[in-house]
Amino acid sequence: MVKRRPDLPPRARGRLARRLTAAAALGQFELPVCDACDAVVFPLQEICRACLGDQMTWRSVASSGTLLTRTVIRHSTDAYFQAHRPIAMGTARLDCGPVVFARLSSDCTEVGGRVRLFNRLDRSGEQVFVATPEDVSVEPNVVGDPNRVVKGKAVLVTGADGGIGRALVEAFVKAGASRVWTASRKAAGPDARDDAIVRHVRMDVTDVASVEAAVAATGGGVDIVVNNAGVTAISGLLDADTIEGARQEIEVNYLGTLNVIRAFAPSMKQRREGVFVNVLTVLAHANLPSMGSYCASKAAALSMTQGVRAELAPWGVRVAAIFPSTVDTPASADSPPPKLRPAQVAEAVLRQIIDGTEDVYPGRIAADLYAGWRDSHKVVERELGLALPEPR
Amino acid sequence: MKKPRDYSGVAVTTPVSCEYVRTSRRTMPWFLGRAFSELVRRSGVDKADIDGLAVSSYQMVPDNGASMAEILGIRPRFLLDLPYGGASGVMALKRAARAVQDGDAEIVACLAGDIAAQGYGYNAAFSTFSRDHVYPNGGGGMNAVFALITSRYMSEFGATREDFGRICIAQRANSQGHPMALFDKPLTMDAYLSARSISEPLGLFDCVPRMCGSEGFLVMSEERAKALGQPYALIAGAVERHNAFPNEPVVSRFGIADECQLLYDMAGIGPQDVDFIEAYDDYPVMVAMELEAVGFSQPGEAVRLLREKDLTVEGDMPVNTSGGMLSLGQAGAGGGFVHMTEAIAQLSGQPLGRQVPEAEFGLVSCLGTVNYDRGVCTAAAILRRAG
Repeated sequence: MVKRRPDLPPRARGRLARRLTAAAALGQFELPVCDACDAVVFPLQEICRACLGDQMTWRSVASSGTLLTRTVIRHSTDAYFQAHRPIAMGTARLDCGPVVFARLSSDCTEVGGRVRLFNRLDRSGEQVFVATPEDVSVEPNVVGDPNRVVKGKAVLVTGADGGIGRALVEAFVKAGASRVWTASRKAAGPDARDDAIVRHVRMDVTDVASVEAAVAATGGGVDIVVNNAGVTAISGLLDADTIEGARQEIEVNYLGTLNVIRAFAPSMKQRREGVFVNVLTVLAHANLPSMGSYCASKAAALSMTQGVRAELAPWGVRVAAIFPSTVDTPASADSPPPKLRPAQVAEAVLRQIIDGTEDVYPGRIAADLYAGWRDSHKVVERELGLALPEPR
Repeated sequence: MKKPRDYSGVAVTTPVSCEYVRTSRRTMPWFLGRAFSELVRRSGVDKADIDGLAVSSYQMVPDNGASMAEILGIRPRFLLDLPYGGASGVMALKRAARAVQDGDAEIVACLAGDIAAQGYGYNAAFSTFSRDHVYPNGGGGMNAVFALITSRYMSEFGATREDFGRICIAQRANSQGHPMALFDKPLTMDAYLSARSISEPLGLFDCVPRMCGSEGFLVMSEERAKALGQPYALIAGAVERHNAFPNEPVVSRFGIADECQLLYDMAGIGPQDVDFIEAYDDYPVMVAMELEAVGFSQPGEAVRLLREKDLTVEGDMPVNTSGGMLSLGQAGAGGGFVHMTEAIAQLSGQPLGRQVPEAEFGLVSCLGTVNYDRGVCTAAAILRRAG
């Protein structure tokens, strides 16, 4: 059991609520639906109130509803909430049936009015509902999580000279970051850019001393780190002449990312604030044998992502991951289309930070593959295995 | 609904409210033990003759009523744990009375109480639904839940903050002269309205302070009570209903609304015969709903009652004659007993505060167990003066 810190809201939730938190982490509005009578079952329980059905299936349900009641909390026995008063909260009746408690946006004041509900993570990384007027499309960070703000933040992007890296830098500048550090092994930044916002810092992610020097060079106040540096040998696990490519992938994609997180985490922990976004791949879930060693390194990075997320959650530091399919960059020039544009990935990363989600699968291909993997990871394993050319 | 068997032959005696303090280094069982020793001392009953025990406390886990029996050194043959908070007073009374009628016990000691201390009371772990779905939305606790119920009642029935203020002011007047009143100075409407906001629309004086303290009473046969020379009250009727209106999106009725007629049928009286009411007053909106549910007004029309009637001990509709929890504070699950002990005290001529003149019938209604968005457990009883 992780001890609660007073600068975070309560983390305690029951086992059933974990599933709701999982949906929030994925940006989904899902609730359990009774297999027998189709009633949406909430508050969470395992027996249907309507028909006593004992089997539920979690499904995406309509997030619209009506605001029933509203209050403004001006006193709390919880240290975190007491420090964050006043807090608007109320109950809403979902069109699909249940009455839910929710935090209310500042413009969500009309009792009886139509509302949209969002399933969100709070500052502790646990689930809460948020209600806004019905026409709102981007939930305005009602829980007041500083990690969901990009404007005014100091950002560092590793692998900044690559295709996705350049798009990320542009996206963060456009979103109002106060400083964007372009980190790469090179002495100068991409396009030799160095201005009031964008600054270059030399960093070899495989070299701990180099990473620590980069932390010092940035002054230690980086708020958002995007772990984008990565290498691909584009070879099978047995197909490669030596193990060097596989070793290099592990050194950069897994251990390099871990080096960066280990170097930047202490300052974030101290400030109780900070975000890591790890650029993974949907192939972190299942191995594509034609680039088998790369997939293995990303699987290691995914497992590491889960571990550091849990270690950093009690400190108010968020660890997110994005799982794209093939992206149209020089590194994947030989891969067949369809490919995501780097700007699409960068936009998804920005949106992910602003929405406070943990795992994002940008684009149709990644989303399909992820859905297939959730349905049966063995089916996806076979499909990817069959993509290997016939032996010659 | 078939009318239940009556409660004839059962006496309720020895109302005890004790040791009310804001904070204490003691543990909960000390407070229950104090109430128990008061029951023994004041009733004159031999401790060994107490063969039934009913206990209600939020702080019982990991122990239970059997642990209390060990602590008190008694050998009950009737044992009852009531983890229902505010509803436990009437629930204990009903069950203890049946045990006495059926011969399962001769003298049942009913005890309730808690301490107010860090880590106790309403917090994140109050209930599963609260922990998972309510408390994380701002940690407003019980206050926030009842703020929502109050705001809905106000908009639906045209109630104003002044209407709820009338309840608080009258109860404060009732606590004048009560030796255990936490708040014993008169409350003005200005002070009520201008008190700091806790959770809109609730202000400071709509919310009950948490206390340490304990409550108790004895249930036995009338013959036994007479033999002991104890003044006692009789049970004219009692009802309960839990999870009464689950399909109301926001609760607007008190849970025993549909049992009210049965309650009066058992007692053989009507609302006009009730001399005073002890209504669970965790928040004044519930007092309004309770007055409606027990037939003092039509649903949604308690407002008129509050504007026209005098709720003080000497008035034409005395409500919460000790000052209620709004004046005494709430000793956790003791809040589920405090209305019962006051009704017993009034009808047996031994109130700690002021006596309702010529009271013959008193009605107790209570509410407990706020799991999600409302109190789930509701119960009511009519007590009667003996003789």
